[in-house]
Parts: sequence; C-alpha cells; structure tokens
Amino acid sequence: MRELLGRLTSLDPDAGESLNVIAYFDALVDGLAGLEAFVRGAAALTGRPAGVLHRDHGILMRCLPTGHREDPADQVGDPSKGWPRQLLGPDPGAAVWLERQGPTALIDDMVLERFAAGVRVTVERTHRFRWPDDRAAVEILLDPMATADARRRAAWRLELGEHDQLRALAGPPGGRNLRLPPRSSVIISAVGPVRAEISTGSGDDAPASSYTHPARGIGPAGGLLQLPQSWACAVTALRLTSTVRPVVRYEHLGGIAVLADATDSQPGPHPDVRGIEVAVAANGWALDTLHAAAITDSVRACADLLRIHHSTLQHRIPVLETALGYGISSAPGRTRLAVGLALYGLTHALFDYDDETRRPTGNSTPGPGRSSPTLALVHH
Amino acid sequence: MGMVRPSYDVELAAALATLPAAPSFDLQDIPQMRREAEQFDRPIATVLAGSDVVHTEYVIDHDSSAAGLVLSVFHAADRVAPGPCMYFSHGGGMIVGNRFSDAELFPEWVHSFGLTVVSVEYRLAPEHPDPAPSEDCYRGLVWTVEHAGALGIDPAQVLVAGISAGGGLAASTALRARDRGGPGLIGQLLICPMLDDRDTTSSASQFDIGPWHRGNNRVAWSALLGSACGGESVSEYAAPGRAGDLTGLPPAYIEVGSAEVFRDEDVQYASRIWAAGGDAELTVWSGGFHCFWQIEHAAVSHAAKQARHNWLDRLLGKGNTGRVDNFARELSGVGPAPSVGDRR
Repeated sequence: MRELLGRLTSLDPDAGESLNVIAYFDALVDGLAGLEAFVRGAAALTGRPAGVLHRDHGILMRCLPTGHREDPADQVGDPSKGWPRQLLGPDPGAAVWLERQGPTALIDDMVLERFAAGVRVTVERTHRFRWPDDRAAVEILLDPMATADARRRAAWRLELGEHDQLRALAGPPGGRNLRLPPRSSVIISAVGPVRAEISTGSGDDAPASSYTHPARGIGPAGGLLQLPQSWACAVTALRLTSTVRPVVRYEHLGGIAVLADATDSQPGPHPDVRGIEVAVAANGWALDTLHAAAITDSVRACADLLRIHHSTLQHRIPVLETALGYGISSAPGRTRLAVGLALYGLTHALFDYDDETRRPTGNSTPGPGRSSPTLALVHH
Repeated sequence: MGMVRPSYDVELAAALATLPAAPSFDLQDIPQMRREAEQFDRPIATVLAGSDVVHTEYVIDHDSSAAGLVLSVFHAADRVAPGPCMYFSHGGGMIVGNRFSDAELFPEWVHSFGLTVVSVEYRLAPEHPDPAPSEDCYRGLVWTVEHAGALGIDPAQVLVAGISAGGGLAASTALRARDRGGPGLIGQLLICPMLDDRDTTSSASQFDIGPWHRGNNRVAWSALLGSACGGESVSEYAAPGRAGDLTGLPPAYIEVGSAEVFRDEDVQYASRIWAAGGDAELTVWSGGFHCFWQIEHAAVSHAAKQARHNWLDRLLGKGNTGRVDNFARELSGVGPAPSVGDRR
C-alpha cells in the first residue's frame, strides 16, 4: 500500500514548503495536540533534532526526526551552540531550537516560528498552573522583600498585568498534600500555614470554588506592588473569621483592624479575652453563640442565625453573661462583645494542615506571633 | 444527517493536512495510477543501502503464463541459519505494487528478529483476476518451505505476513495451507488487512474519505472479482472474511486503525478466530487511517510498531537484538543508535 500512500512519506525536509509547515502546526493546534507532538513535528519537518526548554515549567524535551524522544543530557538551551532558536517570551530560559549546524534550510525559520507559537499556546493550556511554579510565583508577589525583577517574572508566569486590580486572599491550608488551585500557595504565617491566593476578581466569586472550607480573609484591591500589603490584611481578616461569619473583607473591618496591631504588640490577652475563654471552655456552643449575638440585634434573629429555638438561646445567654462578666442584651454590651471577640480571634486563630476548620484553641495554645506581626514567607 | 465517524489522531491529521487530497480512481485509471505510484518507488539497492541485508531473487515454476513467479529473499549478512522466516505479500489493493513496495520495513525485521523475509511477486488484477494473486502467494509459500534448507530457513518457524491487500493474501495463504495440508505456520501477521469484498460494514460507510477510501476499495475488489464482486460465489481464499471455518489457523496478529475502511472486517476476523477457539491479538489504533504507521514520527505509529514487534518477540521467542544493541550503547554512555530505516 506504500505505492498508494507514497505521498504520505513525502514530508520532504528540503522541500521548503512553508504552506505545509503552517498546515501541519495549525492542525496540531486545532487538534489540541500535546507538547511533544510539536517537538516531533518540528524534527520530522526539518529532518533535524528539535527541542523545547522552558525552565519555569520544568520542561526539557528533545525529539529526533524519527519522532523518538531523546532528552539531552547537557544544557541544550545554550546559545553558544549556534543552533537556530526562538524565545517563547521575555524569559531567556524558554525557547525552542533546531539542531542544525551551519547554514539554515529554507524552512527552518518558518518551522521555528510555528513551533514556538504552538508551544506557547500548548504550555499555556497544559502547564499554566503547574503547582510548584505557582507556589513560588505567589510567594514572590506576596513577599514585601522580593526584588522588582523576581516580581516581574512571577507576574509574567501568573499572567498578571501591571495594571490589573489584584487582591490577596487567605484561608485555611487544607490538607498537607493537596493539589493547589491556580495562583495559590500555602505560606507559613504567624498563625500557621495559610492558603494564599491572588485574585483578579472582587474576592466574592472565584475563590469559593477553590476552597473546601469557606473561611476566608479578603485583602483590599490594589496593583502588583500592593500585594504584600493586601496579603497582610487578608491574614488579619482571616484571623477574624468565625463559623457564623466565615468570610471577612478587610475593608469592612473598619477600626477593628487596628486591634490586630494592638493585639500583636500586647504581652498577654486582654481580660475580656479571658472571659470568652472561660465561656468557650465551659460550653461547646459558646463561641458560635457569642459570635451570633454580636452581629444580631434580637434574640429571635440570633436564634435564627444559629438555627436553634429562641427559648434555648434564652437559657444560654445568662450562662454566657456570667462567664463574660457583663450583659450582652444591650447595644453597648454587644459592642464590647464584638471587640472582645475580635481580640479573641486575633489571639487564638491558628491553622494547621490537617485541620478542616479553624482550630478552636484552648488557653494553653500560644496566640499569634506577638513579637512580630511580620509573616514568614517559607517555601515548603 | 452528516456522516459520523472517528476523527483522525491529531498528529496524523497534521501530516495529512500537508498533503493533497487522496485521489479517487476507477478501473480504467489503474494503469495511470500504477505510473504515478512508480514515482515513489526507490531501487531496492537504495532501500537496502547500508543495512547489511543480503537480497537474492529466485524465479520459480508457475502454472500458466510465460514468466515464472519471482521471490525476493532478504536476510542479514551475518545471520545464523537456519532461522525463522517471514513469508510476505505486499500491499496495493492487488492492483498495484510489487514485492519491494514495503521493503523499507524489511531491514528492521531481518536484524531485530533474525528473520529471513521472502517477498512474493504475485500477479495483479485486473489483468490477472482471482484466483491468480492468492494462488501465486500460496505456491510461493509451498516452494519456500520445500526449499527451506537451501534458503537457510527453519521450516518449523515460518509465519505469513502482509500489509493491506497483502494482509488479506497472507490470511488467504494461511487458509489454503490449512485446507490443503500444506506447510505448517507459526503465525500470521496481518497489518490493516483487506479481507472482505462485501462492503457492508459501518467502517466502510464511514470512510468514503481518507487514504484508501471506500470508493477505491470497491474498484480494487471489482478488478479482482469482476461481476462476482459482492455476490455469493466469491471464494474465501479471495476474501478470507467470508471463510466459514476459522478453526485450526496459526496465531494471528491483526492491526488496524479506528478510522479506516478495514476496521470492522478486521475486528470481526479477530472475533471469529476467538469464537473458533483460535489465538488472535487485535490492536485497533485510535484515529489511525489506512497505513497510518507510515507517518513514522507520530506517537501512535511508534505505539503500533512497538506492539507489533512485541508480538513478534513473543511469537519467535527471542529478544529483539536491536534493542539489546541500543541498551548496550546506553550503558556505555554512547546513546541509542538511530533506528534502522531512519532515512533522515
């Protein structure tokens, strides 16, 4: 049958048929071919070994004209070899090449151009959020000490524009070995490991699908350079989340945000925090009930929020007031409670990998880094 | 409603996109088609150049016409005789081609498996209609086994093989060898075989496009069978898919693409061998058009070749020496040798 299909083997490397080159790579792109298919195609079309290097994504791939994969042992991206090559973007560590010494063939330029274009869209489709790389990039962008160059490269990889309005989101880390969603990482903060995410949205939409647990602190929106500040704010907001108020936007905290700095510089917990600790130690329902009481203005609304009967709530309130040492039925009492709860949250918020929820800590657990509010940026 | 059919593998589709549309032909176009096909022929000496393969031709008696039947025998220059033999029939719809049409595959078979490949120059339709092509193939097999000693062949280690029309002829040869008490065979390697003239399968309906489409297939069968084509009188040696009894056949390897006319008749052939208690290995390569493996660099072509060679390894009970060489090179840090047949 080779007689009838002889045409099929006529991909002549010397033909110089740029139309065929375009048709070939277009078909690969249209057919959502994998990265290796582009490398094989470039090698088969030119009759020379071809390869792709993409350091940021850990891609190093080389194919012979037969289509067999034979990855290089040495540093093939080395421009000193003099092979025709084409960069994939601003990063010099990302390029495609053809291993042709001496004069280039007619189709080399066309093949390199289409090869590079195909690799770009394919890497974007198949490798965009390869998690180890997103982790590093996210951590760089949230780190106030990162250099401008590192920040630029990280933004390029995450496809964040200079003029995008960005905000940092903070949440519980989830399990230790979870595959992280795009543009996220787990950062060891003063309150333990915290899931960090960079969002181009309002903070209301995308992250909801990324997290199994709804607790989330949302930092204010700003430019690329404001991300470290947004991240610090997001962690503060996260520390103030509760079961009844799982999503906290830093912008909505108002003056309560000031309490975060105050708490972190205090040598020990405020007496009102002690009162809440006593209540929480005595009854499992105490913390949720206090949070609900602080954000509602009637027994019935509070009971509805807690999904309990109002008579049940009426039995709980005196128990709580005894532990706190003040009444919470009046507006001033609820204000004092709200501030106390904020201090309690700031003191007690602590996250761990294996916790599905925020850890309700006992008195013995140390609070957040009181010595310094600076958050450690640690790869792990 | 438009025709639904499996789409081509993406790399195969890309290769196809660089080529002109598959030609359609009719009976009267066959001479012209043969002339066009010839332009892809390379002299056998060129095909074998540098491969250390010895080529010998034998002209054997034949039953009617003037010239004898030609067999080309290929073996490694340094073979250990006697060894296993692959008796091969070429593709081309039984209307075009010659015993060298698929010769680019021979050096690797010869070296990797220690095979002696015997390729038969069977007569072509329509000048020589059924049963000339299949009878030629069988007669050549009988002669080969009778002369095994002189050819350096172990008569207990002979398999038949063929591609496309040649695959159908190999299946036919195995049926004749069984029915006439002829040479014992250890296997039949049927690569996208053309097995059935009846043209009634889903895959035939689906692939009125692509290389070797339904229209061309019909013309080829008509050239072989004339007005009997598709009717009740067609012999199972012409169209092995029609054979009622598939018991007592040597182990089969049947390989076909999911996107070609022959898909369903080949799958059915394997199924019916199993139903008859026989031994068959069937591979259906997703998105493969007819003879897709000729797009050698495509990943699916690599996979098809690897599976085919794996079956030969098991059938012949010996390691693939080519791979041993490659591994030895890798161990010594030289890197694998370019594969045999790498023309680039």
